[in-house]
Amino acid sequence: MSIEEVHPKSQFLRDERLPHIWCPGCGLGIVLQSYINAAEKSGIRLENHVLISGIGCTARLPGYANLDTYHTTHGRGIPFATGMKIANPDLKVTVISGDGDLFNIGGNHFIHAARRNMDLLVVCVNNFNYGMTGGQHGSTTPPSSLSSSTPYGNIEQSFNLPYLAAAIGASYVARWTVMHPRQFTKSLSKAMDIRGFAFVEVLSPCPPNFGKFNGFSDGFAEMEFYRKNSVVDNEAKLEDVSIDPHHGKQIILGEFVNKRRPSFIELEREVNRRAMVVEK
Amino acid sequence: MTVNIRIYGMGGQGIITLAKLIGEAAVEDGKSAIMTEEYSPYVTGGWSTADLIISDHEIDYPLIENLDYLVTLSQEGLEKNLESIKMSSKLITEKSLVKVPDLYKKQAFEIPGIELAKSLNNPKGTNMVIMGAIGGVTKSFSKESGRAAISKRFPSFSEININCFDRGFEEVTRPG
Amino acid sequence: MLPPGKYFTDGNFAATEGALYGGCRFFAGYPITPSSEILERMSRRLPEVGGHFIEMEDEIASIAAIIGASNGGLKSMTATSGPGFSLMQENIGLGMITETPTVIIDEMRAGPSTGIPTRVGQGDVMQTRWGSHGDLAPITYSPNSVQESFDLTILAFNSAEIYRQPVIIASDQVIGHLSEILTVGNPEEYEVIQRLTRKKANGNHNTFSYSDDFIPMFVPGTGFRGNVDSLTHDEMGYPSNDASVEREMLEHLLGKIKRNETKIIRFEEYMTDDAKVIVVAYGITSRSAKKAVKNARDEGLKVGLFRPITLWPFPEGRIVELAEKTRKFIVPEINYGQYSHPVREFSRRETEEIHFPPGAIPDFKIILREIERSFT
Repeated sequence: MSIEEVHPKSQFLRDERLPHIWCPGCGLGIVLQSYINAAEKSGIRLENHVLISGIGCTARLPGYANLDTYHTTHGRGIPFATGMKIANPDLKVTVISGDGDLFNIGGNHFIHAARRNMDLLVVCVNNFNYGMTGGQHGSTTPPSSLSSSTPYGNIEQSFNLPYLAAAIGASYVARWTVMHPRQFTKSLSKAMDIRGFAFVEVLSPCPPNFGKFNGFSDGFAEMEFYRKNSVVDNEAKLEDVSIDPHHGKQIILGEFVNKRRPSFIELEREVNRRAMVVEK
Repeated sequence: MTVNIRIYGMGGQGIITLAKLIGEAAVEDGKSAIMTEEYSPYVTGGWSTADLIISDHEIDYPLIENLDYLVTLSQEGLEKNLESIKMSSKLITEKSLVKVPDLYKKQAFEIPGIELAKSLNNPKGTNMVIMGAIGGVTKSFSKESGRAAISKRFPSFSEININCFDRGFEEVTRPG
Repeated sequence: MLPPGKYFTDGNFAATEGALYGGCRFFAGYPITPSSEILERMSRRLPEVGGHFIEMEDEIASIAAIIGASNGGLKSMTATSGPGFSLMQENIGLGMITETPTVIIDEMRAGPSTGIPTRVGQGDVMQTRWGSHGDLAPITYSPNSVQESFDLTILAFNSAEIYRQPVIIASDQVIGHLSEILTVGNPEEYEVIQRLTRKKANGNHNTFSYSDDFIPMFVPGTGFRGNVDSLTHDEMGYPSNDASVEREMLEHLLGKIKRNETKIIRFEEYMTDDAKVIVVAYGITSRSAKKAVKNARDEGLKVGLFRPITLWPFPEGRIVELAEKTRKFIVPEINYGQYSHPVREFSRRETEEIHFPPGAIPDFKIILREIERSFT
């Protein structure tokens, strides 16, 4: 008798593509599993879930999910998803990409999609650096961090992503770490139900790069650090939720925004209905 | 027959609209027409110009070789085009804005378009008066087609604009 | 749809209405002179015909959005000019590697950089061929009239669907803003290729096929579960680092165009039968060239005009044929020599360039003088 090893989520994974390319201690496996669990619980037909990404380690995630998946160019997942969602509004379109992809090269698209209240769920896996290219710093690298391109320490202020998203008008904003998979999954499920722009940030270790440069012995040590140094505060003043571990600052997690305003698709439908009447 | 018309004015005077309406009217009459336009990069206060060729034959080459008519609603338009004005060319100018030098007086139709448009309670209709004058002078399109093009473009304001157009036409065609 | 009839209108209007005839139901764009009127007209017209319009934050977002929309199931397009076209290059490559049908209108203006927004140029011709990195086989049309702005836009949508790739219309500032007669026929006179799609995959969910030039796209939301990837990928759409997969994929991408070149390539000839000298001109320049050729013929000079309607693929076969009985080619362009290069390369004949500096419609007399000089 032979025993076949099957991943419990096998039906949602492209088994033939495994093992994945991610490093030991990386948080992306947890993110993938959380997404799948959330999609399963979302009440939306699985075939209507579409997963889109830009470029980077996180951007490889859609390729392992057994859904309709699109791996686009660096920074352009959001505008690609915008076109797809408008063309095919029955789809539940999720963009999942890294901090470098979404906020450095793709930052402009993020703020415009949030401003439009575009009907997308954007998940940013924030590992505070460019992992795939060898750990260079970016707009989310905390002040004073070491990286392969800040050998003397990062002198730039980093983005406070929930504050940014909320200021522009996102309908849903949350932040978790990969050490909070239950809360993160619940957040994703909720965000999939949002009409409009939903944003979930999830902090994740990058053991060979950000972790190594900043004194974490391995991925688990980095995850432990995020767990121990974070508090959940749904009512936090978003101005204060920037991430600055080198100066002893606690990491604030939670579900910060959940409000209703008309989404792009809703407003567009209304305008188009009026225009078609004019045509008749 | 081929007629070459250059129309020049300042942004906001409705030069391009006027040229397009003439083209539409000529096409309605079964002729060929081609129009190229140029304008300064400024939205307001800059110049704009349209070159129109109207012909009984198909038109390949869109540039004017011999200028038959220069229509200008600004002094600048006259000065910029002096080199293109020949003995046989005719000028159509807005009287209150363009001072025509004595040398060209004989070949000029000085139209008080602004004044006429005001008198017809359509101060924005100066370009329609000029369009009428162009029709009357160049005979490149029929009065009926000119009117039809105007009512198609301005369905809610066709009457006041056609009044201006008719008045411009009359201005250059009345005997004496 | 625009009712059949005769219109006195401009190239931008014609291109917009042609696109709607061709089945365009999604437009994303960013305002830029001289193509903004297409965007403006689309914003009004698309909702009227049940389509969708969005003004994006820049040209990169615009082209990403039309590729996304096309993958979502709608025929899509954008319109731009030089600076915007430069910004789009990376994602034109995305459209190529993901085999996504879409149409891009580039109205060439004076460059480089911001150049003169309101004045004509033809400096993007090589960019339409080689602008995006990597090996590509783009299809590029060059309209020379308002009528062709309409007709070729319909054709571009058809080619995009058949060959599953971005198709470029390299128009120019003059054609975009020039007004002349547009004749629109009855809708049934126009062949419009409908999108072929594959829905739910029963077992085999390969996104692409490298043995078949024409495999339909899958529609998301039907349970197909396909992967579409900007990385070099196999027929499943799965990324690969393998050079043999790269070769297989590229030979498919380039081969599907190469093998169908005779169906794609279009050109027009005027008095080439006995011509000893042939002028090769496209876009607005071809109209000046035609007048020059006519005048030269009146003088008894044996000269003809070859006008490529598809700039790319290059009409190599016909140029080689013409070269057999022609001693010289003259290539006038509103740039400092671009299309003259393949003409020289493939004709292996003396090829004279005429450089018209961007900014104006070429004066036919300069072309005529060059023709005359060739006969003395």
